[in-house]
Amino acid sequence: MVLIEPLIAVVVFLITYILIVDERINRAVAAMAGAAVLVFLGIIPWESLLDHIDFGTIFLLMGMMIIVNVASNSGLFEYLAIITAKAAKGSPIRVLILFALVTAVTSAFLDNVTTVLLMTPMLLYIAKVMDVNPIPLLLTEILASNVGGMATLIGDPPNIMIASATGLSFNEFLFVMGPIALVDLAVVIMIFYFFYGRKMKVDSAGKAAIRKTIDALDERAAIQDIVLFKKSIVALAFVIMLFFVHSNIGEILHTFLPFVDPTMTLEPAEVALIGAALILFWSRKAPEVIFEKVEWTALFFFGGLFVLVGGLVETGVISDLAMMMTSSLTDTHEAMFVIAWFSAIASAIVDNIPLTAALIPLIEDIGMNSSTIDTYPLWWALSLGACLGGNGTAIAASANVVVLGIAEREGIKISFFDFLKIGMFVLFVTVAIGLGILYLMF
Amino acid sequence: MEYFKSLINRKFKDVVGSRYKDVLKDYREFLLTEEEIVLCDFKRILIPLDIFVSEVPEDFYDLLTAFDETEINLVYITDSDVISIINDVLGEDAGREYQAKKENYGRGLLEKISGELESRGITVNRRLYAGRKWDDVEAMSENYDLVAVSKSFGGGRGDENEISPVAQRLVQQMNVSSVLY
Repeated sequence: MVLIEPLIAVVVFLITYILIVDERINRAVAAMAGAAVLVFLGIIPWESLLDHIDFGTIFLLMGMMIIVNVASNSGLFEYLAIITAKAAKGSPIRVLILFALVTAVTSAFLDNVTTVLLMTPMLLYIAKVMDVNPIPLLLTEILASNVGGMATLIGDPPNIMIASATGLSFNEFLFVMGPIALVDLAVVIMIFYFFYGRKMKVDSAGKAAIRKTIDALDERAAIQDIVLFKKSIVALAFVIMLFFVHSNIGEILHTFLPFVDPTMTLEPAEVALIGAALILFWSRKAPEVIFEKVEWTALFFFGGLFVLVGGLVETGVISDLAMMMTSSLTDTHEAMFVIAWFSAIASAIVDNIPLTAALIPLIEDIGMNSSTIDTYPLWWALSLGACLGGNGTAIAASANVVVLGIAEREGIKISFFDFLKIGMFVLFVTVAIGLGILYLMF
Repeated sequence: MEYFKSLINRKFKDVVGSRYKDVLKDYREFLLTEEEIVLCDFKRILIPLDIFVSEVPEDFYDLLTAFDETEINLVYITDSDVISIINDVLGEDAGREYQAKKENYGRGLLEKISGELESRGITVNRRLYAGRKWDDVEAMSENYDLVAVSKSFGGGRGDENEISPVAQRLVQQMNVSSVLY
C-alpha cells in the first residue's frame, strides 16, 4: 500500500498532464477529474484537501480578472493599440518595436491573454495597411508578451504561484526579474530586426500613405465609455501602486494613521481583491456581467492542479525527488542551472503551470534537505525558466495559442516548425542571458 | 500538421472562448474596411457657407488634410431672394445695409476658415456673392469632386431636425460625392 499510493499519484498526475497538453478534454475538466480520482482513492483526505489548494494564487487571478474585464470594457486596450500604431509614423519596423514594447509592458501588469487578444487584430490591420508580412509582427508580439510577463509578480501565472508559495514581494520580482526582462526584450527586438528589418522597409512615399490611413483612425472612437475609461485608468494605477507598497503598507500608513500596525503587510491576492472591489464599486458596472466574464475554467484548472500536486506531496514523491536532486547537486549555482534549464525546456514542451506547481514543493524540499543550496535564487531560476520556456514552442504558453489561433482564423499560416525555429532560438538566448544576470546577482 | 492545427484550435477555444468574436465586433466599429482604406482622389472641393454656418469642426479640417494636392473653394452666399424682399418692402438702402452686414460676417468667416486650411498647407480660393443657395450650389457642384456641406447651411436647423432642409436636399440631389459636417 505504501508503494502503491505514490505510484497512483504519479500515474494520475502524468495521465492528467497528457490530457492537459492534448486538450481534447478541457484542461480544467482534466485537472478536476484527476483531482477527483485522488480524492476518491483517499490519497488526498478531505481534511487536507483545502490545505493543498493555493488560494493566494486563485484569489489573485480572480481579482486581476475582474479588474482587467472592467478595464477592457472601456476600450482601454483598443485605445492603446491605436495610439501605438499612430506613434509608429508609418514605419513597419517602428510598429514592430513599439508593439513589442507596449505588449511587454501591458503583459507585465495585466493578463497576457487579454493583452494579445486585444492587440493582435490591430496588428493584423496595420500589417494589411502597410502591405507587409504580418508573421514577424505576430511572432514578436508573442515573444514580447512572454518576456514582459516575467518582469512582475502579476505578469505570468508561474510568478503568481511562486510569490504565493514563497511570500516574495512585488518589488523583489520587479528588481530581480525586471532588468532581465528588459535585456531579453531588447535582445528579442534585435533578433527580429536582424532577421526581418530589411524586408520591412518602406519608401518615404509609402510611409506617408500608410501614415495617412493610420492617422485617419480615431482613438477616441475606441473608447466605449469615457467615464469608465478614466475610472479604469485611475483604478489600475491605484492597484499597481498598491502592489508596489504591499509589503510595507503598514509602515507607510502608520506615518499618518498611528493606529495602523507598522508591521502590517498586504498579500498580493488581497491587493487584487481590494482593486476588484474598488473598480466594481466605482464603475457601477452590473456585477453579474463582470462575474460572468471571470475565467472560472482557469480558476478550477488551478484548483484541480493544486490537488494533483498535493497528491505527489502527500505520498512523498516530491520529497523523494528532492532528496535525489539534493544528493546530486553540489551548490546553489549548479541548482539554479538545472532548475532554469529544466523548467525552460519542459515548459516549452508541456504546460508551464502544472510544471511550476510541481517544482514549487520540490524546491521547498531541496531547501529543507540541503545545507549547501540556498533556495532564494532558485525561485528566480524557476521564474526565468517557466516564463521564458513559453517562447519555445507554439503551444508552450497561452499567448502563443491566442495569437496563432487568431492568425489561423485570418488565413495566416504559421506552422509548428516555423514557430519552433525562432522560438527555440529565442528561448536558448534569453534563458542563457537571464541565467547569466542571475549569476551576477546571486 | 493537421494535429497541430486542431490542437491550436482546441486550445484557442478553451483559452479564449467567445471573446474573440466580441473583440472583432468592437474593432469593426472604428476600423476602416478594405474599401475605405483606399483614399479617394478629390482634387477640387467646394465648401458653401452662409450666415447660418458659424464654425467648422477640427475633425473636418483633419479629414481635408488626408487628400493630396487639393484645391478648396470657399463660397459664401447671401440669399438674393431675401435681399430682393427687403428692397421691395423696406427700400434699397435697407437692402444694401442688410447685404453689407451679411457680407461683413461672410468675410470674417471666410478669413477664419481659409486661415485654418492654409495653416495645414491646403490651397484655398475664396468667393463671396449674393445668390440662390440651393440652385447655385447644385449647379456649381458639377465642377467639383466633393462638396462639403454644413448641417446648418441654409438655416432651419433646430431641436427637431439635426440637418437643415437645404443641406439635406443638396446631399440628396447632387451627383458628386458629399460630406455633411
